[in-house]
Amino acid sequence: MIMDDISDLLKKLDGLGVKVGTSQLPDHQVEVKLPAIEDLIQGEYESTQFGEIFIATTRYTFPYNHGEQPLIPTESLINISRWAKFRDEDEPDINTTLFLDTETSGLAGGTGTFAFMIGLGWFEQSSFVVRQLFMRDPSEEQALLAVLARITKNYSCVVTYNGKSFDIPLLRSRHIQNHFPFEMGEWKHIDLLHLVRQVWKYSQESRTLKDMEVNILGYQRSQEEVPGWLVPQLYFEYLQSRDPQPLVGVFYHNAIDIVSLAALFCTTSQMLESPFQPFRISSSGADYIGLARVFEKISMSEIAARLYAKGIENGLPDELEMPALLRYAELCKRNGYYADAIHLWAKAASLGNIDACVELAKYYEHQASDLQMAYTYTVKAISYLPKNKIYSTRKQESNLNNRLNRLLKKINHVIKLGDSEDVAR
Amino acid sequence: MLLNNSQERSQVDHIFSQWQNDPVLGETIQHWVVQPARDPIFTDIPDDLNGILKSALQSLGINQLYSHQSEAWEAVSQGENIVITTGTSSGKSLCYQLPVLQAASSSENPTALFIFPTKALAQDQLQSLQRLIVFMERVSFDDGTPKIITGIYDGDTPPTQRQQIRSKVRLLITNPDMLHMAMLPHHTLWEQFFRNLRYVVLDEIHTYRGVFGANIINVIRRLKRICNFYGARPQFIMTSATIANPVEHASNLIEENVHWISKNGSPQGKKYFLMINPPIIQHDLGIRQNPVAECIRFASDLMAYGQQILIFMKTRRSVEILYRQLHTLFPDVNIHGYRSGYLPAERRAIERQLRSGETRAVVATNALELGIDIGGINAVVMVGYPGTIAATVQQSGRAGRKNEAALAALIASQFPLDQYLMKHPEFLLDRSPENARCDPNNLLILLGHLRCAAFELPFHDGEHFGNVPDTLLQGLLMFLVKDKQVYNNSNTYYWTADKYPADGLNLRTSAGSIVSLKIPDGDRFLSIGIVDAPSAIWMVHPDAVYLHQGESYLVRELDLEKGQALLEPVSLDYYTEPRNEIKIEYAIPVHETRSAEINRFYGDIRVLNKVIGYKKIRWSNNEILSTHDLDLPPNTLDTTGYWLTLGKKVVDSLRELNSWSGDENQYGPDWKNIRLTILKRDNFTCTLCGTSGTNQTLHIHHKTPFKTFSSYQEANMPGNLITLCPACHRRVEMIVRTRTGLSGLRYVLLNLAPLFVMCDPTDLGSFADPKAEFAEGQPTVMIYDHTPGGIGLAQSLYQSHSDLLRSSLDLVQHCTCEDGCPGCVGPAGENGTGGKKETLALLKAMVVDDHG
Repeated sequence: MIMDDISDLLKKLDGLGVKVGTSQLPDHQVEVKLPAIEDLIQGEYESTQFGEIFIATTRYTFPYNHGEQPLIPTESLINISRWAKFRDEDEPDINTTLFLDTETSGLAGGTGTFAFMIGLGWFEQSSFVVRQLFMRDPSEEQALLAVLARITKNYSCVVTYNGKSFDIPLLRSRHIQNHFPFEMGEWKHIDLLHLVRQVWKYSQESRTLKDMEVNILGYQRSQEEVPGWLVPQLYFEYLQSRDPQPLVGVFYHNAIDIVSLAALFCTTSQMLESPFQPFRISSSGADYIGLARVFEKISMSEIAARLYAKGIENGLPDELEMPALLRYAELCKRNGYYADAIHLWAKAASLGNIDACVELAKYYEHQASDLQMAYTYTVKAISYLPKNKIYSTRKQESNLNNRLNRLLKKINHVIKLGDSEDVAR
Repeated sequence: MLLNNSQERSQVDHIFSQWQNDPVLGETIQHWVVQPARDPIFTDIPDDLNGILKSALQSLGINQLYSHQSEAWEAVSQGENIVITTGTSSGKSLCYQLPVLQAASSSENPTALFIFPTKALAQDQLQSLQRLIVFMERVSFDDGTPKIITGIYDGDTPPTQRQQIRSKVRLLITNPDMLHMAMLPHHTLWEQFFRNLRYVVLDEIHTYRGVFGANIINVIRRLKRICNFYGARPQFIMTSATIANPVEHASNLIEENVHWISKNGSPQGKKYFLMINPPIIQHDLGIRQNPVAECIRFASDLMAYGQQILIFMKTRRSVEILYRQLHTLFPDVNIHGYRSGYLPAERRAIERQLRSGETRAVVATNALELGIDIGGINAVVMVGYPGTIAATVQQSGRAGRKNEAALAALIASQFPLDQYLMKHPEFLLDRSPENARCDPNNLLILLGHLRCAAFELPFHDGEHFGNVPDTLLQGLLMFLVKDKQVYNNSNTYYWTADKYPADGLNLRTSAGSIVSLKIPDGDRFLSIGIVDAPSAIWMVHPDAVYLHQGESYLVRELDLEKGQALLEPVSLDYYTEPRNEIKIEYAIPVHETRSAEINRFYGDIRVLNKVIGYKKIRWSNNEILSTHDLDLPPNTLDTTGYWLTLGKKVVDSLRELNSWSGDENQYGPDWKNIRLTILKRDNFTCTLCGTSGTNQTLHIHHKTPFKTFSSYQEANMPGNLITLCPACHRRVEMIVRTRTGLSGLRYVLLNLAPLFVMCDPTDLGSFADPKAEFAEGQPTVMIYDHTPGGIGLAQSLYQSHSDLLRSSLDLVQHCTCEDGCPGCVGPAGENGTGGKKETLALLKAMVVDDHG
């Protein structure tokens, strides 16, 4: 079809059912003089061979408390590095660690999504610095990536929140699309979300940055805050209108995201380095269990065991108590602390746990040679079957019966021996 | 029951001569041809084929190549794009496997992309490739050459494997939907793959026509754009079934030059092709024997002689009927049905059994995926014309063995196309006149893909998108800017919406609003397909019978707001045809040719379509069972059309027809008295002009023609009769004749159009009006694209105008019916159609005087 001009095309498309929202309205004539972005937000322009971009800089001078968390870099990051599975010699240095969060044109993913703001944070001698790289429109992307490369030249570790699935793959894609090498792709990467999910698995329902900020860091955002889902919209509106006012909220949102990320990182890494210090740990003890599991993951079972103990000591909700007891007992057994293990199993057994009874039966039969006790616990286990409908299976039932029969045989055999000895006497 | 080779060779010859000499069967064979046996043309394995590949071929028993395989090798080595039309069982796979594997075993690490239209084909080809690769790797184990990793990436690929495939695979097999939806919008995840892309293999490209084809062309434009971004410029290796314009079609698909490899160097035994027209069993109405019954006669013979046969039916119901009857007649013979809805494993089993000879007969719908190698079958019978000549060639192409005689037979049904072909076998037997057509610059489709393309990479000023004219591209990009999905700055257009455009774009529809077709699946619904919203109104109106891959479904509910239609699988002996009330709001010519007799036009039109009801029509003989009313909202369709207005000279030809004779015997026993009654009622004056007269001078006219009624009593109701003077009567008759003639013309043009453009009958709509407002009040007939925006069909018809008219004249002239039948101008006696005399007169006048 031959098309003469755009109104003709619009009419055609309209006839085909392609509805357009505001395309029929005349272009908005801007009469009012709009402020420039630097009038509203503290920052400066940085030049590259590709053009300029705008960078907003904020310094949080020490001592600085973000909510209840002082922003102090943790000395050692060895345990967090073990959790992240970095090689032993590769412990990240907080001085070459970058905190990163992007603001993007949407969540759709794919090559059509871009980051218009890249927020970076790092620790310096006497402050925590946040620098937000911002492109005023998509044609500045190359400049943005060039500045990013320049600023991050000497860093080797990046910390994000959900960056493994989102921010880093997105940045990689943007680099490829602009023919830039993606150095950051080779760095060590700690996605704090995954760690937080594990540590606070049992005590926090939601582990979003926002909720952690409120519940763990105790930080309240100001009125300037805009919700994350609104951000792409605000940027698109800015592209159309060139009015930077709505962006103020976006800069704020991003900056606090970075600071909270850093603060939460401090909290978490401190917990991992000094797990028995009460950093942001809930009094009910569930946090100790989460921590314990993390220490188990990094094969530090002695500490894990003690954490389980601490958790149990502080009191746990019902659904957590039994697994904690059993896990703790298992660790004790592995490390050779049978007395502790038995004590724990006995407790669990008294609370109606079948597995604990079986462990005790095994112990008494093979380690302590006390068939009577073994038998007693087997009987106990069987008596618990009806109550444990969900957990018990026919296999479990038949295993227990087999154990019982086997023990009976053994006991009878011993009695016979005893009898014959008596007779012999 | 397996007979040895020499016996089978004479069997088919023997069977055929038996048929010819049979007094009954012989009559029904309208036409037959014999394709002589074809000797293989061998060539040496090319010198520049690397040693590893040569050994691999030798391990498979291949020591020489067929001529077309060598030709392909040569052409590809020269850097050309090629299209191969030598058909299945000709070894066409080697044509693309050899260049790809040769490149893959070099150290440069090039990659290749294989696009197959179906999953079954993909699986098949993967195995075929891997067979060769396995041999190659056995030879080169110490070589250090990187392993050639192949894989399929489609909807069935488990998520856990996808990451692996993306990073490691070099020979990737996928389908167009996956490429469009998953790969291109995430091209950065495939950076290495695209950067090193050397070959793109497109299989069965004849399936890329119409709306689907238009979408595919745009997907390829996006693919090339992305390859260009990574610095790659792949070569295209394509295969196609027989169509009239393989080179043109292939070139249009990739928008580059293409070298055609047509000469088939593979061997083929002698092959008979029969065209069978079931005998007429009801002469006045021109009704013929049910083609299924006819099929049983021939199939039984073939099976009695132990021949392996494949029978293609149009509907599942007829598959079931035939299957049962054959099974009853031959209880000990291994017979299978085959239709969509079978699990892949079941289908593989049947295909395997066909290859091995274990299964002696398969009754199938066209769901039998035609690319799969099932070996050659002794005999193929097609019941009813498959709809396109290309499909006929493909289905009949299944018959053929390398060293023995084989046979393919087409049994005609009552449909006009079938009947036309019976009279004009040259349309089937000579090269097909059907062209594969698709118009990738259909606005809606193009717009959808531009969104996807902008999402993938920003557009720069001066950049091209395939052969889209610059002004159109600019206009559409500006449109997207106005629509706030794209942002324009410094000569670049960036995607700026939080949306994933590939999501809303289904390659098989023309975008815009769609209606999803759903069938119940337990307590949920399963989607079996999609239609455009405008098409939905007449395709899947409530109570419509909808045919999908040979299965019949009854439409229970159509919900346009929700965009879904609820269907129920049924087995009925009828299908439905909507009754539309069509108005053409406007028709703006883009091209026109005027002559004294006919003016013909092609241009943009707007159709207002209101479905007012539907007819139930019996499958077996096209008999109309019943008519029903519906109350649905009207629908607007903006598209392209081809229309003719008849000049005075042509219309005047209707005058020469025999006038109304006044023969009283025609109108029932009591006609004399009825006449008098009416004359008295009308005071012996002409109702139109008031002239008075007498019983002798005045005529009595039936408002609705006598012949459209089923009884003379109904026809002669007073309300249907008026008094007219001879002059007015002639004038009125002219109007009736014009209307009738136009109507018949419309019917025959619509039914023959698919012969000239390769499309489904439902892709076209038609309209006729003796006083068309949109065409200066002239008597007009129009055929238009049913697809919003038009897909190139109307344009093609405009170009094939003369041939279309000539064929129409031919059909009507040689039809043996008396006054019209489904085989030419429409069933006689139906209101609004019929009128053989009138249509013939018009056609004669149009064709003789047409210089265009």
